[in-house]
Amino acid sequence: MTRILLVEDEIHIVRALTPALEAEGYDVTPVAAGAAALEALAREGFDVILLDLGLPDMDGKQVIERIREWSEVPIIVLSARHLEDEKIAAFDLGADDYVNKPFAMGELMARLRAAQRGRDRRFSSLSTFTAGPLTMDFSNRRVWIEGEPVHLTPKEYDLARALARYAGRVVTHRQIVAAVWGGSGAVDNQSVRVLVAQLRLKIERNPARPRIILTEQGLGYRLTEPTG
Amino acid sequence: MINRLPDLAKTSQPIDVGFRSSVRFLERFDGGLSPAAQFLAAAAVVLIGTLIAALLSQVFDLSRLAVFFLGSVIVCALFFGRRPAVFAAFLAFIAYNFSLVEPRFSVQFAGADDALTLAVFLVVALLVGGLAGRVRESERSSRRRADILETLLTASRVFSGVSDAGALRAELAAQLRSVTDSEAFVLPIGAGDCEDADEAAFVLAREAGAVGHLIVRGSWRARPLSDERAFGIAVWCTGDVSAVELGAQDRLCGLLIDFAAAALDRIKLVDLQTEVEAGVKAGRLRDAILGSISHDLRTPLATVLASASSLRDYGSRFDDATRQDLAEVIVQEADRLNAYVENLLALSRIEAGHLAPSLRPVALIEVVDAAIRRLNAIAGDEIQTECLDQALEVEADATLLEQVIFNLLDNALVHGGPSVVIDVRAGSVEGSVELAIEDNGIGVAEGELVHLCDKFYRGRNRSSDTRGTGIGLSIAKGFVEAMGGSLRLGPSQFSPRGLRVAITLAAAREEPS
Repeated sequence: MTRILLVEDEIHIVRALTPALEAEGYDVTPVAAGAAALEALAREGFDVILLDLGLPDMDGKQVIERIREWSEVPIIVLSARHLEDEKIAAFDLGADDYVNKPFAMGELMARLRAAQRGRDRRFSSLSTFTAGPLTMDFSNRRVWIEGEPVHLTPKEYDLARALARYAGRVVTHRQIVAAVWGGSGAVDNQSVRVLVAQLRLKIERNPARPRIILTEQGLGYRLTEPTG
Repeated sequence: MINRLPDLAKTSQPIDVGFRSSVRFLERFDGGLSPAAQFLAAAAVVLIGTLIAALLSQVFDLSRLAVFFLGSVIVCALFFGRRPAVFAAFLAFIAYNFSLVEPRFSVQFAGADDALTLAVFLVVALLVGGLAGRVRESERSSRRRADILETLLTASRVFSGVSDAGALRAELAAQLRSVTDSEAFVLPIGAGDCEDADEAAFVLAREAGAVGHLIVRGSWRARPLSDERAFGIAVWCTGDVSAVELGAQDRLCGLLIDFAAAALDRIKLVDLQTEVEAGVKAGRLRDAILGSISHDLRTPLATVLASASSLRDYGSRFDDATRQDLAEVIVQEADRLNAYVENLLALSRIEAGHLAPSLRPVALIEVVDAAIRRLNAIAGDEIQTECLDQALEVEADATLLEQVIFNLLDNALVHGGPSVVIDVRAGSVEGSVELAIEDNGIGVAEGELVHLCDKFYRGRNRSSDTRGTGIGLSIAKGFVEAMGGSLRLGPSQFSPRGLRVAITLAAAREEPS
């Protein structure tokens, strides 16, 4: 059973989230403060952390920083303050994903699945990936759209693979730069945008209204959830 | 320009004090005398010297007395300068020849001897006169430099004390006027005709503004304060001044203008800094308010959305109790959201000044009861109204007053903690009614009382799970004031730490309608 540590000081939200999470087979442990969260994680260990950034005793970003000092547990941030800077800071500190309040349960469940996939994939030997019309074969670097082979340049392929690897999760500009350009710091967000636009031209039915590679404003991109 | 100051200081310093005082003494003599008077005085000095020599000629050898004539020439040279001294030299030669040289009492030019005497007198007159003149001149110029230095120091002191560009321009004009002893104006760029400067000055100023440097028209000068010309243009008349001093005056005026430009630069920087700081502060406040609103709106929304979507997607898997609980959460949070939106709207009405309360006699107890009913399940035992005089009526808008009391009670409940007791009491004081709501909660830190009614201010003494938006009190205050009353905060009178909020409203007139 997947164990979730829910770090949230609003008792009503805890009341609202718990039944559905439990119905999906998660085991939910709620705590209302950052210090309590660190303590509980150290004591019991959890599979996923849902973290509200606005905590009464410490900044949620600080909680991420402290957790990342010793644990790689997936962290999904929940926040009502939709500030790009704050999201980027949370990602830089090691958050895995971000859900804006308010959210429907379906959205939160998808993020939870994506976070778990990220964890499971390290032990997986699957070489193919499918999300909607997109199919990728990592073992020989081939890509199909609706069964038709598509030719990608090496950079486009690296981008697609980076997004597919974390399918369903946000991949930040910085992570894309690291995956495609090997982390050479001189690449700006504009180059990332250009590359994403190229890739969309090849794999999206309507590149102006993408369905496979979604934009997370100011943050990065998210490949739609894998199917099959 | 500042670099030039030490030079001025250096040149005026190395004048020996004793020398200076003796020169002052010389100066006093010639200072007040016109050229004609100097010549007359020179003649008088020679006459005195001659008389002394004539008197002493009874006793001393004639040849020794020549020194008195030479002495009178030296005196004239020292005090009156070269020309009166030469004049005195001729006079002294004649007097000497007349009174002492044989044949006495006749003027006869008798060869080499006399020529030598005259030559000596003349040489002494020229040498001493020239020397004294040079000393006088150097004293005069060093005093001029000291004056310039003092003027500049005064100006820089005055300029640095001014914090407003207009006042600084006026100050520069005043300084220029005192230096030139004539007319001077400092016109801001694009000045209208309202200034007291005349038309000619305006034309000159515009011309100087166009070329960007000093221009000279007869005795008038015009110069932009700085290269950017944005600070203004100084226009002044050189006044009644000799050609020699004109150069010095022009330089001094130029320095004054440079000083003023530097001071204006500083003022502009300070203004800019203040502006930037104000902007940053306003931006920070706006961010805080927006952050607060978005957080307080989204948090109940998040609960509603999560609960509702849970019911839709997983409802069939929940038991009845869970479904009931989720529905309850939705209702509660929608209520909370509604109250918050109400308050936000009220706040914007207060801010826009659209609040028009309709005042009529209202029974206080009824309004308090209505507010308690609205707080429903939460209130009851915690709120004590035994000390509330049931007969009291106030002039108020019942709807607004209910919102005020609701907000105050809600605040007390939220911040009072689990064992909160709220005391509501009222009494009439000289034609008005005071309603006091006190709690036994955690209270408010001393310095925070004044901020508590600020919009979106949330106290530091709040427990971790405290909901609240930081606008309840500011709305209560706004409503009470709109009804002509007042709201005050203070420490509770019956509990050691709690908060007391007192509202004063006008008592209702005798017959309620």
